[in-house]
Amino acid sequence: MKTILLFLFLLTTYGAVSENNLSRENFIGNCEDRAVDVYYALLDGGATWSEAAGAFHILYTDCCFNYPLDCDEMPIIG
Amino acid sequence: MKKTWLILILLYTQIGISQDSNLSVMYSAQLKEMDTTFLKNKSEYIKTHLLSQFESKKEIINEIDFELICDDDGYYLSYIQPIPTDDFFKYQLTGAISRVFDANYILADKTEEVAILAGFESAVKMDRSVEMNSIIWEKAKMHKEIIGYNCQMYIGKLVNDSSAHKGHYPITAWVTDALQYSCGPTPFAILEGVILELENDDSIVTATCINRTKKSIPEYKSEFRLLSYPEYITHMEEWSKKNMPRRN
Repeated sequence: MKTILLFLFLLTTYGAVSENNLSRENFIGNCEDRAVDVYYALLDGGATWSEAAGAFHILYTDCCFNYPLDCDEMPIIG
Repeated sequence: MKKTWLILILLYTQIGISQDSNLSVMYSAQLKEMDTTFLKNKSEYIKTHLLSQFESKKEIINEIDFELICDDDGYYLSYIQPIPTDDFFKYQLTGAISRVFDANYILADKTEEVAILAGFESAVKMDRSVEMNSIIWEKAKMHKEIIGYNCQMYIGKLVNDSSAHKGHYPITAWVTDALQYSCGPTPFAILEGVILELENDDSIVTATCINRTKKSIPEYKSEFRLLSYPEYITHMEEWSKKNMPRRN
């Protein structure tokens, strides 16, 4: 009985952690996608690459402020 | 003995005069209202985000003092660095300066006819070189006075789109020939005179005061990789395609 309970406990804990990781990945993914969208929107509007890169970095930094462990490396544009 | 003293005094004053022989022109810059037609098909998130970022860039650029140092062989455009409060400010500052000048500073060598557009620590870390004569200046009929100097209007068009950031051209320049220097807040100041105002679709840069200065033009020390402007365009297009694929 104890073994079954322990097994169920481990299973639910694993499920919870996996779900948490998944949502975190989604969050980072969406964030990065948005940052890329902003990068191209600015370039479409005639901005310089430096301006577009700056806007990308603002969004990326914002993301990483919430989840610092997930993105310790800011992509260097260029 | 008196003669020797007179010669010494004369030499001393000459040295004093020659130390102040460069020209310093201070400028202020303003961003014009953004043309939002390119946002028509973008998501609400992008529209809101870009418009709010743009307002903050407008405020930042109003607070910056730009300085142009001119000597007989070239010129150097830089700005007084504000103390960064946070990363957001740093990136917004980069965006605002880049929107006007496409460079962190401009260093022009008139003897080589080459100008350097310096890259940004917080954006694209690449310096670019441009040929100063890759623009055609056409004299217009209009004149106007800027800080007491009579200025002639010129329109500058790029010889080809890859010689600089094409979005910044054509450009209108107001030039005075009363200062015996040839310089301006652009990599293409090859006109006989000092550009006291520059205007394009994005911004207006206007001289606020002119002085003699002891400051000299610094030597170029490459902080980043140096590419010609056409090489830079090719590199950035390829880099973006490879590392940041468009979603739609």
